[in-house]
Amino acid sequence: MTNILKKINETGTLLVEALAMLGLVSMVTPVLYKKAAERTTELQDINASSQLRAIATAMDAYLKDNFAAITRGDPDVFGGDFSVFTLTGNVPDDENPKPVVVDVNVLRNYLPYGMMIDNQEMRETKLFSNKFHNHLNENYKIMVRLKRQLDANKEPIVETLTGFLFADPKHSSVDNTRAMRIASMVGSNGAVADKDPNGSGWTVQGTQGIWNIGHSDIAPVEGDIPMLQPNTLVVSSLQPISSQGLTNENVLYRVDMPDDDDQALNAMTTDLFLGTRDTTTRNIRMVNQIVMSPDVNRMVGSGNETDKTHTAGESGLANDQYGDALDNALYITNGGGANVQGRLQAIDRRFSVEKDPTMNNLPKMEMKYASNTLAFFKLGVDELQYGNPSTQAMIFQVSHGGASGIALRYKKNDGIENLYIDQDKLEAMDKTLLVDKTGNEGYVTIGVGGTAVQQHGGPARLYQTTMGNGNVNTTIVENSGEDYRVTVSGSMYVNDTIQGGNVSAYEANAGKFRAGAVIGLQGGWRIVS
Amino acid sequence: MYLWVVIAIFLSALAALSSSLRPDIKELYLDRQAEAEVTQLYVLHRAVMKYFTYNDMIDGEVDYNKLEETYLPFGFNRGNFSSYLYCLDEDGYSSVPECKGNDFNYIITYGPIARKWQDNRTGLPRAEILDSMRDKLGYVDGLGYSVDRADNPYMGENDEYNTFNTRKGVVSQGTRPYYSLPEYIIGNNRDFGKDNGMCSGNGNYCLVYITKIQ
Repeated sequence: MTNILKKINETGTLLVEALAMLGLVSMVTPVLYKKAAERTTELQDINASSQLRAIATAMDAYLKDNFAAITRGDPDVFGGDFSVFTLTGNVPDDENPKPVVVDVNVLRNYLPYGMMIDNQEMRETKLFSNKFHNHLNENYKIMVRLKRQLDANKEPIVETLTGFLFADPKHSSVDNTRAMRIASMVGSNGAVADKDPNGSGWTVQGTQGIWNIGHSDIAPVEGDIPMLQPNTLVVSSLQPISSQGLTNENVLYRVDMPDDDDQALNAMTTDLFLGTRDTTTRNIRMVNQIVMSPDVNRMVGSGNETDKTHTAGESGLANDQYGDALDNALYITNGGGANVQGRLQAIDRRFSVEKDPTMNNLPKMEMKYASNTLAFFKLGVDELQYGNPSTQAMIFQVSHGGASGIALRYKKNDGIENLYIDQDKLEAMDKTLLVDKTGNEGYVTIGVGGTAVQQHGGPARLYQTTMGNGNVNTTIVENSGEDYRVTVSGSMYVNDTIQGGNVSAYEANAGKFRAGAVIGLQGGWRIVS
Repeated sequence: MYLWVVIAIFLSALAALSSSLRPDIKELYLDRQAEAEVTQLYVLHRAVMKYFTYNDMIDGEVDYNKLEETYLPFGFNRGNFSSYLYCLDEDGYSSVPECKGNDFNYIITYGPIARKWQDNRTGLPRAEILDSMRDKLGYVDGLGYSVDRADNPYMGENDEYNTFNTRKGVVSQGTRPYYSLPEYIIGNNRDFGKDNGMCSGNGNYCLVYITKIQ
């Protein structure tokens, strides 16, 4: 009996335990389900916050890169219409102009790879759709605010851009608590939009309380953010994108900073490119002076910079290769040329004009002083010209010689050549040649190597010529083939002595033939009539 | 017996599911809230530095409205932080009307540590705040929290950069572990005074960012 009762009691205890267990399971199971679901939600929230941070980072980079164009109101900046930022002289509007709302598409080149599909469509995620009312990418909007401080001339002293990314989550699953948590994980710049409690507009409250924007700030562009709803997530720029400095020490100063070390502030430690392969090149204007102190080992194409093609396209040449001349401090290519209004001087006397030996299809290099197309001075590879050879204005030319044999030519403005020297002869083209020797020593010799100067087919003739000077003897070498070695067409006066086998006078006038003494007369005097 | 086993299983499951799948959830959630606190101080101070660059020198508290017009991010809320500009002589004892030669400008921004970020026992800032200063802003000199030098004798007397040896300083999170506050600021700014000032020490600590500009 006792055993039976004991068994009944044990059975009752088991039943109670079983009922309690079932009750506990039924109570706790929903909690476990909820916790399990929250873990999934948490991962989604983390991903959403990371996604927003990435877009906001791209937004800040976009604003920085396009700062100048945006602040001057360029309406063509990546499709965004910033024309309301243009300075108009209306100071209140200029200092705090109406915000601008642009599409998220402007960030296509700034977003991480994969965030957009084909650079056109934002990728749909668990929490963010890529459409609003079937309009692509309309679920995201970027609001840009500009603030200025103007000087007395209404010129900007400081300009500051702040961007706000609006991203509307799928509201079926994101309530206010969850939106706040996502915004909190974005960081100090995360926020959630809500209805203005004092009106019908919208306010945005930073989750950590360090920033907020009110209804009046959003109202002017509220219509441009159609997807704005309670719990829309908002992310602001981390810091204001400023025109000047202290928020970004790595940007060169655009204005002189008093009492600062300009070299430390404005020194660049990288190459400077004014344009890329895909954009139009730009100019440097109003340069007062360029002082170059080249280091040959740092020049592109030489020393440490041996890769001549890494900036392909920069040279403007067909093969995108730099020539050897790039090893010089100044390299102008693509037919750029250079005009110098003033002096061009080689201070170490190593000035040269050279032709790149690798460019055989280019004409000969030459240095030319010209007016329009007429060269008045030209220094080429094989000739020096003063005056234009194709016109009568050419008056002086020194050439290499070659087939023409011309070495030196002088021509007057009337086209008549006055001097002509080549490798064989010296010719005075108007038949007048003056050989003048200054000083009293040595001889004036006409001829080469003891060979007399010859005139073609005739005797050497000296017209109106005085020969001899003091004790200096003048020798006229025999001109072969002629009867007479010296013929004097006019009168002749010999101050000292005439010696010879035959002395003839063409015009017999004994009265005019006078001599003090005749020495060594062997053939006797002859009067030729 | 079975009941206890089931309870234990459910409690352990509850605990496991209450923890995050992400081991870095602290950095993702808590530390970013701490960053916001530091960012508030940092952004305000940098705005004052920029203001100082483009405007005439003032002596005393910076007009927040002027900062808000141009130099701060749109919508920024400074909370309880304030900024002051000073021009002091070489020793930091006297204010001078115009900084010349060996005089220095000082920009100081400070504010109370939010209760959430205070250590419950000492009142000092929690590790999340200091980590944010170092990890996110990159070891900035003069950025930290204010203390009495008497409470930190080692830092105050042995730091080679401690040029002033004044009564108060900043436990800096930059390359200088301690940054002395000029005596003029301590004597003339009631927040750093002894009379239970906001940054008077002994439980009243402030987040401080001070910059010396010649």
